[in-house]
Amino acid sequence: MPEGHLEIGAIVTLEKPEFNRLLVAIQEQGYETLGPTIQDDTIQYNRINGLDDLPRGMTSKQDAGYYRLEYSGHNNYFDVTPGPQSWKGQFFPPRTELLTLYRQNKRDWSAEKTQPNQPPTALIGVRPCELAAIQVQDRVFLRNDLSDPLYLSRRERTFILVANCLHPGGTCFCVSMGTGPRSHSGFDLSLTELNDVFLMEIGSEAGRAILADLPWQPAAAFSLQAAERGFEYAIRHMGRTIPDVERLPEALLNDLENQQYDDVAKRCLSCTNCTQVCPTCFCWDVQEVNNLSGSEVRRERVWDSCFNPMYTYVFGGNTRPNTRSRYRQWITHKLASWYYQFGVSGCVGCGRCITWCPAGIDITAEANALLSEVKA
Amino acid sequence: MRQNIEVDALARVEGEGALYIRLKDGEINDIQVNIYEPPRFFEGFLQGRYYQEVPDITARICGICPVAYQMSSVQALEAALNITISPEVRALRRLLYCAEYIESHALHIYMLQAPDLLGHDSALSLAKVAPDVVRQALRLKKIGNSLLRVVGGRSVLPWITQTFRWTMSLSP
Amino acid sequence: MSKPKVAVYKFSSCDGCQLSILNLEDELLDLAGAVEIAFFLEATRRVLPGPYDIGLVEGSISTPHEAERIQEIRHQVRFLIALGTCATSGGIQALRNFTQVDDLAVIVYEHPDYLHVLDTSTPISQHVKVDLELWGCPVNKYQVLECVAALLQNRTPYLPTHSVCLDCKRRGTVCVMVANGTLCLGPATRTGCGALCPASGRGCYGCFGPAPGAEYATTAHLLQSKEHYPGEAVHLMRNFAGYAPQFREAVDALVGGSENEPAL
Ligand code: SF4
Ligand code: SF4
Ligand code: SF4
Repeated sequence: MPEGHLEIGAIVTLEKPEFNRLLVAIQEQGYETLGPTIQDDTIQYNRINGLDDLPRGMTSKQDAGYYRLEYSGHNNYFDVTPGPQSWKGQFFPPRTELLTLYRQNKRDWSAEKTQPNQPPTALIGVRPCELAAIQVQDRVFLRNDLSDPLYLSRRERTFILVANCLHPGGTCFCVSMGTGPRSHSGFDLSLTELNDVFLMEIGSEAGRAILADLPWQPAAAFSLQAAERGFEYAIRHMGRTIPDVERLPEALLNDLENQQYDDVAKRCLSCTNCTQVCPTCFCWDVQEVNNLSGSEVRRERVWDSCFNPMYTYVFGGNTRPNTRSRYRQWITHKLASWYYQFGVSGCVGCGRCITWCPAGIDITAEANALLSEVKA
Repeated sequence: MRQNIEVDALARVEGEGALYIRLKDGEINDIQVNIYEPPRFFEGFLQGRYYQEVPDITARICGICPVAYQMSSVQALEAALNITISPEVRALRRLLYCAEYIESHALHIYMLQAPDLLGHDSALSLAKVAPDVVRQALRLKKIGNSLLRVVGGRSVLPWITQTFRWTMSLSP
Repeated sequence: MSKPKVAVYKFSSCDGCQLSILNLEDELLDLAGAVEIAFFLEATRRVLPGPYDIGLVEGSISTPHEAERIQEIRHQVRFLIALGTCATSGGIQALRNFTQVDDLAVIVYEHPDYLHVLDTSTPISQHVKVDLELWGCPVNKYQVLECVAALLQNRTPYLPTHSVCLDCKRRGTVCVMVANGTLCLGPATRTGCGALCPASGRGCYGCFGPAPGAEYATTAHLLQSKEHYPGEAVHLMRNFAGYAPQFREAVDALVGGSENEPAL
């Protein structure tokens, strides 16, 4: 057992093979461990039990409307930026049964609410932008006046191990959005993967307790320096940037007739992909499914999208009747009105909407074009 | 004595047809079957289509036995293009075909043919007197459909899975 | 209320949509108990006299006789549902609409003069008023059930109309266009199948027809820019639902469409 006492905020090193014991230690606390794996030629989050399950040596080539997972032969386990999936589905699943109603007789119904039954889950290898996205969604689903019980129960029972980024992907712009490449708080543990060791930072008591029993070492100065150099490199190698993020809320909301919206409307398909991969988008639809005799009704919540033309259909018409109005709603919400609604940006700079837009529409390019049109 | 039996639309057949029987002194004098299923010109509009599309299109010749048409068009293409398939793909195709046999034969025997032999209008009326038999038939049919879905992607007009597509590029 | 009388009809089609009803193995007997099946030749020879409360019409109108028969049926049926992509768009046999039917007939038949066909294969709505359209080649059997249940319960059926893309993302299917460069018509195609084709690793070929409000021409242009062979985008759109006006116009709008266009 190493000497010294671990505290929240401490940074130590862990030999890479010890990661397997770390996972076991987390599992022993009752958590199911989920992390990045290769599935369907991309990175998807699945159960992991050890280093062997991780996408070692892989990188992802990402550009607007383009994604390829490639083997590049490096020795790192956490060096590949995410695929289309985000952790959003952990707390806000694509389909949730909310309630079932049973008809007792002509007049009376009994209701059965869905009880939260998600096992405690440890999210392994959460990227800084993804942690930021979880925190953004917390503000949406967990408000003082109103919170979503299913989201809350899943969120409460979650352990988060962040993997900081040293090699950002081609569509990443967390630096512009102030969410990466390194997380500073909100995790239980974080790791920075160096050539031979993991640099571990303790973010919570739960994280401290788990790490305390493992053979950690005090972090050597050169390891800390290597990490710093890595972060500097990452900051300089962001795939995308938005130089004037602070200007966005006012600029966008004061210029709703910007011609750029006509331009993007010629390229956008209203296909919904950007909103579905976005880790902070939260539009949903609630639908009721009856059986044939009408004696049983299930109420389900499903992911929906402001790009779904029917999303804003109300009696008598559609409040966003065309792609121009839908794209404008989306980008102004993400980058501007979200601040007024939730106190933060709705975009964390993960780049998913850029990569997974089949038309290759790039939120940073659109934002920059919108800004440049506005008289500064 | 002359008598005619005229059925303008045959029930419980796969497709459409009419039947006319003329009797003379109790003997059959003349039988006519009229298949009035409209022509749809598959052989015509297939010309000029890309070869990968052909099995998807020929499937629509008949929704009850689409695999037969997909299989024959695939074999024709493979013969024409000199493509040999692996034993694994062959086995999967056979499995898909068998799945269709199961579904289609259950449909045919229980839902289309049996009612006639047992003096019923349909399997639905049969279900009133022999519910277990009909339920069992439906179960059998469902097994065929499940297999179709697993191997072919969906039960009606299947074969949308990658397994049956040519991934190689054909160089001239 | 007495049980509503249901009639099922077939026009130019493959029977697949009717079979989808019979494939409701778990629900079929309940369904037959909830409604009176009054006319459904593929399932029963019992024919009850009309009028009927619900008429499900499979197939397109492609012969003079069919054009007459659909008028009679409209008079018999209170609520008419066009069942499947043949009935809603003209179906695969509507590919004839892009060429001369006589030219096709000589390829197939030795005596084309025996045929009595129309020059075009057209959707039911082009002939009579249709109360509800259920897309799909074939239809999703659960959508059929939902429609019947909704009519029984006197409510609007729940039939979403968004793109196939939304289904892919909900089920966690990786985009075949972005990750593989495979052409996919999903962005312009109506939901209903649950994204079957992309989930099998191939592109959507639009069998549920155009999604209302989608960007058909933009999609067509995008697909054309990613073609693997000239005419691939036209092929995708000019297929099972190719005669649907939205897909037709999108193909017409393709730049250089005429040069790239294959025979059909
Ligand atoms: S808007 Fe785009 S870049 Fe921003 S968080 Fe969402 S998916 Fe990521
Ligand atoms: S921005 Fe891209 S992903 Fe989003 S709706 Fe438009 S085309 Fe689809
Ligand atoms: S993905 Fe497209 S072509 Fe495939 S079944 Fe669905 S709608 Fe039809």
